[in-house]
Amino acid sequence: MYPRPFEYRAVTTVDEALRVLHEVEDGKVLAGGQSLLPLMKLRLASPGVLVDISGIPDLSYIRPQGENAVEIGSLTTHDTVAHSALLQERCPILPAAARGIADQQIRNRGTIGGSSCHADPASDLPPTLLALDAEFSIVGPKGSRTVPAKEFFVDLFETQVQRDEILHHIQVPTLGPQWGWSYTKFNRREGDYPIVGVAILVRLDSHGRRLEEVRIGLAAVNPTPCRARAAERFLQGQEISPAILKEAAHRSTEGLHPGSDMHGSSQYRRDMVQVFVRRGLEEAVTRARLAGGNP
Amino acid sequence: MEFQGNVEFAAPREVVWKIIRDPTTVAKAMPDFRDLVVTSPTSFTGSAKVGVSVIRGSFRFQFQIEEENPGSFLRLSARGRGIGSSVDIQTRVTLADGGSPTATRMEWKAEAQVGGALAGIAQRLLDQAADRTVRDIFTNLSRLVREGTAAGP
Amino acid sequence: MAEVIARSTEALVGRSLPRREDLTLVRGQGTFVDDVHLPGLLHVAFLRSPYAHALVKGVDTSSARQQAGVVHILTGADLDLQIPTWMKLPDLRTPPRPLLARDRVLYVGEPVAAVVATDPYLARDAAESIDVDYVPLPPVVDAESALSPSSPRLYPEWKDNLLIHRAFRGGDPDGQFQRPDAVKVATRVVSHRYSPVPMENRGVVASYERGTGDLRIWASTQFPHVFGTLTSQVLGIPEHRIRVTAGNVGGGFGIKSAIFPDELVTCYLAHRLGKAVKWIETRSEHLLVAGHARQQVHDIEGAFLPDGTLLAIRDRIVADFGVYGTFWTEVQPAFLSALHLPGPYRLRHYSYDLSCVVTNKGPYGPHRGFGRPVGTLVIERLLDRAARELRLDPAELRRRNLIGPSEMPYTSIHGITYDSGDYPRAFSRLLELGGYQRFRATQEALRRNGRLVGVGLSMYVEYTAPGSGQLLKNLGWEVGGYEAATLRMDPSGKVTVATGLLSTGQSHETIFAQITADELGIPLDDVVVRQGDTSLAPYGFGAWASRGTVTGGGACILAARRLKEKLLAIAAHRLGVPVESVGLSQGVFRAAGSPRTLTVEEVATIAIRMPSLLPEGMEPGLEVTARYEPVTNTTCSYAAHLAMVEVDPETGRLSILKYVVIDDAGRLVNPRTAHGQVHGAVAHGIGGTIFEELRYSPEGQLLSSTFQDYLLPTSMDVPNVEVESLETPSRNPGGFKGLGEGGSIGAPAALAGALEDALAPWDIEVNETPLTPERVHGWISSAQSRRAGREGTGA
Repeated sequence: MYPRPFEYRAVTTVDEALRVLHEVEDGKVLAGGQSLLPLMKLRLASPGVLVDISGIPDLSYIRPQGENAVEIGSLTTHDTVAHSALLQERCPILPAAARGIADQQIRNRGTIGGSSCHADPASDLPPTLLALDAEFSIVGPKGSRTVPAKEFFVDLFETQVQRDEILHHIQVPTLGPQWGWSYTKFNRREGDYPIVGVAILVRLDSHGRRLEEVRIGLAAVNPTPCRARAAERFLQGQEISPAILKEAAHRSTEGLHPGSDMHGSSQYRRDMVQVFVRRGLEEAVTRARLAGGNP
Repeated sequence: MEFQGNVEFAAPREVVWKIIRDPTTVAKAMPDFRDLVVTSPTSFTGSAKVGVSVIRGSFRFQFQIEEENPGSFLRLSARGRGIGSSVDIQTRVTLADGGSPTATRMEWKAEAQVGGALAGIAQRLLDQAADRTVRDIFTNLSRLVREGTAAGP
Repeated sequence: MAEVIARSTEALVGRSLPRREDLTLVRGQGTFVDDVHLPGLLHVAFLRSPYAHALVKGVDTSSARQQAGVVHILTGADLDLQIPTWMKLPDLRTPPRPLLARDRVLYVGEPVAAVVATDPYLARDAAESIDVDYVPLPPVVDAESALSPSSPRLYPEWKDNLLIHRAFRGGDPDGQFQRPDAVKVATRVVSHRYSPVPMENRGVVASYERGTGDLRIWASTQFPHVFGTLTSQVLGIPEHRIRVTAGNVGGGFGIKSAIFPDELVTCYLAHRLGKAVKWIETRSEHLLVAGHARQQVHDIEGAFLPDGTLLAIRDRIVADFGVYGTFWTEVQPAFLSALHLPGPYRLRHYSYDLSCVVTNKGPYGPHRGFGRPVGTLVIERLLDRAARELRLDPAELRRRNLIGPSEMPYTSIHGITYDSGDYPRAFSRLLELGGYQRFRATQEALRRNGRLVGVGLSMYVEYTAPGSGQLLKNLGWEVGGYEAATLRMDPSGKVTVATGLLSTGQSHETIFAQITADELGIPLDDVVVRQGDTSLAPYGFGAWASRGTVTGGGACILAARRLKEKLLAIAAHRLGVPVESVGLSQGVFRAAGSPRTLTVEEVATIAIRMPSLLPEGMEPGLEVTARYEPVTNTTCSYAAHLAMVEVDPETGRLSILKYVVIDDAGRLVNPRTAHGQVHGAVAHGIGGTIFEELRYSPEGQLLSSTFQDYLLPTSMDVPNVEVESLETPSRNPGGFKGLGEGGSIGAPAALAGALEDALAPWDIEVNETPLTPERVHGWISSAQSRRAGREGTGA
């Protein structure tokens, strides 16, 4: 477990981080290090220069943006997300997803920004952020820009964040009382990467009978975290029934190309997507009905 | 792991053949290729950085043209070693006349075997990472052919 | 007089005293191999083969030698040393076991070169830049296909891939199968490859001093003396110049009673360079090369009477040994699977055909349970199939075949004596404590609600602490079954127990002190146990075969008796009374009818510092070494396991609802530490049955070489394990039987049985491990399609 030689640069401001990233040729941003350092120790990754941004004080925060959004600094740890009262109140799916990440030690160090930029297709937060239609604010030498979640995840381990940029913060919406949610992670042991991960948001009509809007984010079934758009479209405006949820679960595998590993073949993952989309929809609907006073 | 694809070029077969048979084309199609040494008319060596995003390492490659039928068929083996791993790729490229007299259709099949650390540590990602890597190489190759044919003889 | 002694002695044996080891370990003050730091210490890294099977055409170390910090690079061309075998069976083939690969590599992870550098980072960097020219060869990955004449061969000089073939026939199984009333049941059971995975990987620090010619070795091993002997044998260094020390060993689980090429290369490098070198195994290296075991396929058939009586078994076994069986256990784990298969069940007609096959995988090593978990899994699967075919309750079928207490001592079909035990009592207590009948009643109701719950039963007999005769005559193994202990009393009356055994979690420091203090009649605190150092302890064979308490405890008892005899003689002499009238209790000598007493300290001081006060002609000093050879050829422990599980029918994921063990390991020295071992072993069994797997790709690549894929059970996956003990004493002094491996033997069978019972509505045969969600889901899906197919065709 000995990484190859690398240079280490610790920075304390965003500007300094951008300057160093611009200067060095083979720089890689280090945030919590919970994905990158194991890869380096296994010698599967060997960046020339580690630019450690974990010492930048003003990137770790969770704060309201008006009534309708919450802004999360990219260095906010999973544990902080998991225990944030503000997120629990406004966007409870995110703390729920964060609570299931790996183990407590990793949640203490790993960050929402690091996890998003690493873009491991099996991570828990990216599909949740996709379902939330979160917005990613990136800063770079040319200033800052905001990218919607659906464009942020580009390919396997690849996002819109370029080599000389860093992710500054992520904005998630406040979910009103008509929303229900669920995050289900199916794995072999607590804390493992999911065989499939399913993040679901549903918005019901005022009677709690009809699905006004559905968003389904999936982990570990494609080279990038993705949305089950066909199932979402199918469900929109539908009256809730077991048959409808089952059909939606069936449609949720459209366009998926899951890889195989020893814990789940491609086919098994497709089967499990169906199981957990259906169960997740049921859970989300129940929550929405309870919240909306329509149990 | 097996991968395949096909692409059509607006150039005659002999032109396309000349480009893909050239070791420098192969070198340019590989990511971060360095130190090309042509060791014989049918073999060459060099190193490339293979992988996806941050999971990437330098491999020393030996290329061997195992079989060729000028203008129509090429079988190329690449044996790479690096980062405690081995990568063995067998590639078969077939050229055929395309939709028009001056067009060429290229079909390719690649069979990759990965050994050592990469196979044992990254099995969760191997399928997708290999797929991505091989596709990138052939995308580059197609681009190089297009550029080469556009430049004209 | 005897009453006086009895009254003043509160027996320590049998009490759940706290572990003496824990204060050191939980404070992080243990000394493991990696904690050994020596001046000028160099570090070793291995370059290992990425290919399962390849020719090595050349190893180019030129650029690696130029790198910073590199002191030395060793390749197979530089040394031609092999690991010999200590198991001499006429029909056992001995494959080459080179310290470094020479012209061929035979498995992924095989060491090809070793780099010595000034720090471990530089060693690893340099190893990576060694260029090996491999020519890949077709790998042999499946053991059954490896038996085909068209299969590639690992060893070109052999005509096939067979390490050994054994056929056994006891009684007349074929005749039994032909009985008109015989009901035949056949099944195929596939046990997968998995590894013990101790928390501390292997590691060696070796330091050679040219002046004296002394080689000091610190190793994470279960048998320091054996380690020294083999090192001497392989490297040609005189054995008395080798001192092996094992400090705290972070788990053994069997695999540290093997010795591998990388450990010996490290010792070789210290000797060759005249330096101190360290090699600490990484987790991936460990998973690649150490402790592969359990992979066997059994095609088994049983003949039963309609009332469930087991008449005969015929089995065909193919064991996948990988590249070879490790030193020193060789092919024994597979032999023991077949040997232990009958377990507690009456079996008079048994035949099997066992093929130990070589493949291009890591070597097959000793692994807690040692073949027995597979044997137990196989027979219990057969019994469950039989119960189903005969429409008998699986508990009732088992009960009808258990050997009864009146049949003890029972001689098995292999001629092994089951010394003592009450199997039916253990079994009925298991059903009672596990709530078996109650569960059966609720199971139906739960099933009607779509809940898949099941109960599984297993029972095994474990032959522990084999004697020297058993090892040599029956197994051809040039290994002693005895163990030694040296008791040394110092002038203050305190006792040091030194033994060649080594605790890897078995609480020897606690239990040998309990045994010794009891036997001598001195307080527990006056006894300390030292182990793991060949220069302190008499030659010993180490901790394996669940033998520590029987053999080491026996040696402590014998040594303590002799020491006490001498102490009593001195005390009697000083008190001026006949020796028969003196007793020692709580460290005080008292004589019947005399008010005078002497303390142990006073007597010890005389024996060591004032020998002129000793009885005429008595040798000064208080040091006794005793060796205990088990009186029974092998002592039979046994246990009964019950597991209850629930399956999620949509995902195939299993949860364990309840786990109960009734265990009989003879007289327990310390029930708490004994039960702790059972808990740990059950967790080990759960891990192996459900989570852990060394899975190879068709190209011979190990896919699970980190803990991301090699899944160990966590605290979330292991239920509370209820353990109750019966204590049927053995004939060994102290009445002890072995224990350490037990739980891992019973768990696979109980869990597989519970799953099959849960899936009974689908009539699914659970005959392959591990019980992964995907596999279980696959079984359920196939059963659903079968049923749909039948309904679809109107059947």
